[in-house]
Amino acid sequence: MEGIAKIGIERLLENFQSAGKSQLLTVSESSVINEKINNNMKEFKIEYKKIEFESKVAAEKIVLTTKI
Amino acid sequence: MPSNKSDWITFKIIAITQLTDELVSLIEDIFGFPKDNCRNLVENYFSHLRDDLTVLIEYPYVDNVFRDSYYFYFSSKHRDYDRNCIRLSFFEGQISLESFRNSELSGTIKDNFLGICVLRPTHPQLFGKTMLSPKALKNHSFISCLGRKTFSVNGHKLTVFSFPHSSQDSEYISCAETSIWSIMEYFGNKYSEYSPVLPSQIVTTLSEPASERMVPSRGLSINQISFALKAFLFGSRIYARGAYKGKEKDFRKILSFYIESGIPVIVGLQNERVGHAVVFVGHGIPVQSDPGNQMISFKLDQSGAGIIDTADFQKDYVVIDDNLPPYQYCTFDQPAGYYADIKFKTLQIVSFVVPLYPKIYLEAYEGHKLAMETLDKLVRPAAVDPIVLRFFLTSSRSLKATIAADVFASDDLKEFIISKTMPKFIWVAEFSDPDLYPLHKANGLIIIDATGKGSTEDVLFTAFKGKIYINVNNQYSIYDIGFKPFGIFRNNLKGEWSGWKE
Repeated sequence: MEGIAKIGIERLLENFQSAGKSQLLTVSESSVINEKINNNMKEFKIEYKKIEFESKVAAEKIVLTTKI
Repeated sequence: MPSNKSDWITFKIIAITQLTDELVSLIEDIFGFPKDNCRNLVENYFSHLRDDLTVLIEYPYVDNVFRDSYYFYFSSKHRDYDRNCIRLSFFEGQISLESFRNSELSGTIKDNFLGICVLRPTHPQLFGKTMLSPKALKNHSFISCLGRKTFSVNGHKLTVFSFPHSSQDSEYISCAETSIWSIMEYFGNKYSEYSPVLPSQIVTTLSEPASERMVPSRGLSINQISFALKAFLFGSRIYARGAYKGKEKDFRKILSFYIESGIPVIVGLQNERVGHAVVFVGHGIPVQSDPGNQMISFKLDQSGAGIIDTADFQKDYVVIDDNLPPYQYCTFDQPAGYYADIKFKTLQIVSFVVPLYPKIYLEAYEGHKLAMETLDKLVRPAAVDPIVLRFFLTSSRSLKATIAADVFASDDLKEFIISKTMPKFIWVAEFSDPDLYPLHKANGLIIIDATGKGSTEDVLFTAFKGKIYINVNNQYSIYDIGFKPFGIFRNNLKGEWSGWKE
């Protein structure tokens, strides 16, 4: 079934291509985009790991008790 | 032969306006608690319900949750506790006892059923398992997680869509254990991966790693709550506010993302005097319907486009609080604002625990960042037009079913989304603009693999303002398929729009 769907989608894409409604980015254009996104994500994850660590420390200090 | 009083079930049907008088007399007769000690409790608990309801009262009723607490705790005490409960069943409009035996009226009984409330012999914490449709409330202008549950009531199998609620008994289970019970009851009835749990299972699960006794309950730490959810097969995550100093907005955003995703979240509240645990299950119909009035939350680095993030909108959260009737309203800044008691009113959110499906590896915060990076660097939207963003988690099954049924979505867009291979859960960034959003319409979306690690290969599908962006072997193609705005995805939280059903 997946193969059949794939053929369907590929045909659909070809139709848009032959109608001049597609734009293929070059490999280097694409890799510039990927690099920018992935580098920003790497920086973000370093910052996020710090938050995660602090979150663990903060959670240790929180005790919920029932006083009613 | 004389019959024992518990040989037969007694049913009585009354208008809700008579409920307090009837119930306090019954509680005095059966459980022995003086009327005057119960009147305020009963009156306050049911005051938020509509005035046109009919209530079926039945005794004795065997409630599995209380029976569990009874056998594991209350039966071991010197004082006698009744092991039976009273059950109230609520119906819209007028229903008579005779109508239960009239087969022609069974459809009306089914359609008008709005849920149940169990009363336990544990004064003053009388209210046990409660499963009420928001339709029973005077005010139900909100959207919420709702699960299906079927009860046998006076010979009829009746179904209600509700979020499970119970008050703590304050001895065997406190607010924290009750919140865990509530979450497990919801997920256990809804998904085959989980099972509802009884109070003794929660206590037993936490007893092993505990360094002191668990009963009588003295409450749980946020780590213990997360541990229990993990033991009940969730991939639970803790978010502590203390870690977000200087990034308070992100902490608020993450909570909002999960609620928008239809995931009920256990929220830890604390002030200098008390701690408390509640469950956030939905949010009010936002004041934000006109995003034109909303501030730009942030601007994208490269394209400079302004993002109006709906997670930043001022909103009421819908709360299951075991000290009060179900479906209370609060804000992030006054999470216990609905209390009259000042001791509780000043509670603040200090943490929350999210019961995640164990294979959701990519967290909300990372998924959101990846979606924004993709929008900025790949789509490069025009800086002049503000973009309204809604970010949430959902199942690919639910998204595909919704898009397939959408009358506004173009056939080509449907084909691309439905044919795309996806994991069980996906993060979705759904885009709209200030004119479309109030019409519940979107003009773009980015779908992210929730099992991903947070890089470009996890971006499964991108569509924005008529164009789709396809990545094959790290090379992008852009196709102008000319799709028109489509309906926003609403399936995570139920409300009036879904007829208060799943």
